[in-house]
Amino acid sequence: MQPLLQSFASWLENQGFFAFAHLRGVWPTLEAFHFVGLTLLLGSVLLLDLRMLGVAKQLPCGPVHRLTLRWAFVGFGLMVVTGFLLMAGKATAFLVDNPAFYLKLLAILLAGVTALVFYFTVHREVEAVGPGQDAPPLAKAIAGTSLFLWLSVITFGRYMALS
Amino acid sequence: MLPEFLRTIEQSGLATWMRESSSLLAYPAVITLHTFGMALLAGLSAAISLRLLGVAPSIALAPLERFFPLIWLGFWVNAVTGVMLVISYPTKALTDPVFYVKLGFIAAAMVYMQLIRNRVFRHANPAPAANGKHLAAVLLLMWFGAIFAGKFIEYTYRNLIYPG
Repeated sequence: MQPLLQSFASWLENQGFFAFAHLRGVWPTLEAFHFVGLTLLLGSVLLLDLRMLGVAKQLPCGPVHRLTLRWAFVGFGLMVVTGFLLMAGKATAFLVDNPAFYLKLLAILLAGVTALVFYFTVHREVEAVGPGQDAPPLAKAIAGTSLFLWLSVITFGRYMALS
Repeated sequence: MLPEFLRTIEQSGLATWMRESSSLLAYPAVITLHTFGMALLAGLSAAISLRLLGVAPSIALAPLERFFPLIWLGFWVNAVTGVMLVISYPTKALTDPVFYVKLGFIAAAMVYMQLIRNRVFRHANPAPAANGKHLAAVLLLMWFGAIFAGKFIEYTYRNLIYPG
């Protein structure tokens, strides 16, 4: 597995296309947009998850969900594009001997599964939760799981970049 | 010649532990908490700004004020962790002009956040004041600037530690 990963990482790093990431100023700009994406994604996810957990209960869940859905996608898209370019630019450092990178991918995957569970179960009920009403217990459990997983993504992301 | 106090801070017990400890609870944990704080502070205030700019107008404004204490929690988490990060590499931060640019963006963002709270959320009229959009746009720009400056510090500093 290691030699295979190493050869894939070297191949990625040798693609001329990704060389631009190392031009002066480009790397920090990609990182900055990665964090702008993080701000949009986490901000909108926090808004909906905290509301489902009972913060600002006077907000109806439906409209909050619509804001979150749109801006979480914008933020996540920005993170995927910039994250892929950053990964490709330093493929060996991230792909080889860096467990935090794979834990981060796993946490993102689980966060995605959590979102799918939301849409296949309580989504309709949550849309109907009006001002002052409690979200169903399953929605609260999903919100807590979602927050935990996104904070894990941040944590593994930081450890990944330092190792 | 750099001021001597930079070396004094850098050689303090906390700074040495932050830099040199192999513990996962030292530098990596502090910078992780700094990112959690950013998510609360910049993330929630960005979400509120988007609402003020006209996204999801069916979200009532008044209940959103409940998020301001959490935004302030994010600010204080980042003030404490930010000071710890500066203590671990004082020369790197305090001799880099970009660090002061970042602080300037954050100060302006906090001023605009309070202006939004006072003028839009504590307004008797529940509809957004005419200047709500203008304030929200400036706030988003300030966070954008703070994030960019923060990232560029990693590449613009002249001395990571006190020279010599």
